[in-house]
Amino acid sequence: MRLNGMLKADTQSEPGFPPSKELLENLGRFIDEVANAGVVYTTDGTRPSAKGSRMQLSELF
Amino acid sequence: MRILGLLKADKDSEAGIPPSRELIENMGTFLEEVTKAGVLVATDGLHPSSKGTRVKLTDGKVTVTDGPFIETKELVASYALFQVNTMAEAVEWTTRFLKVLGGGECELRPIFEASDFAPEIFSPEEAAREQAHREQMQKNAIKQ
Repeated sequence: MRLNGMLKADTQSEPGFPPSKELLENLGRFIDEVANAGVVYTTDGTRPSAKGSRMQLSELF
Repeated sequence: MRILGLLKADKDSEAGIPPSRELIENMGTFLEEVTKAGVLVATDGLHPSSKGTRVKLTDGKVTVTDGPFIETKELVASYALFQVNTMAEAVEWTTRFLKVLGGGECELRPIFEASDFAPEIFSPEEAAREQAHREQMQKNAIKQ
C-alpha cells in the first residue's frame, strides 16, 4: 500500500524560519536511511502559506 | 518551480462516496491533457480520514490516533505535484481541474528547492547527499 504523510505547519514553519545546519544534517542522515530502506519515494518541504494561494469553485451542478 | 496542489476534503469524500463513471472518464481525459502538457509530476486521491492515522510527538511523548478526524475543512482528499514556470500557470490548471470536478477548494503551495537555503546552512555535502536520496527514491517509486 502507498501512504501519504503530511507534516502539520507550526509557529516555526509559518514565519519561514530556516532549519539549523544541525537539523538539516540529522534529517539528511535519516532520509538516507528511509530512502535506502526502499520505503519513501518522494518528500519535500513547502514554503510558508504566505507564498501559497487558495482557490475555490462553488458547486457547478 | 514545483507546486503542491491539495484538494480539500468535503462531506462526500469523507463519507467515501465513489465518483461517478462519468467523472472518472472526464477526469481521465483531463489528466491525459495535463500530463502531455508536461506540467504534472504526480497525482493521487486519498482514502477518507477514517482510514488514516495521526502521529504526534510532544515533549518526547508519541501519541498515535486513528481516524476519522472531524475538522473536514483541514482534511485533504487528493494531491497533485506540478512542475510549472509560475504560480499563475498552476492556478490555471487547478481552475480547469475544479471545473471537471464540478466544484471544490484547492490550496497551492510552492516547494522549497535546495537553492532556497544559504550554503552555510545547506552545505555542498548535504546537497550531494540530497541528490543521492532523490536517485534512490526514484528507484523506490519504480519498485512499487
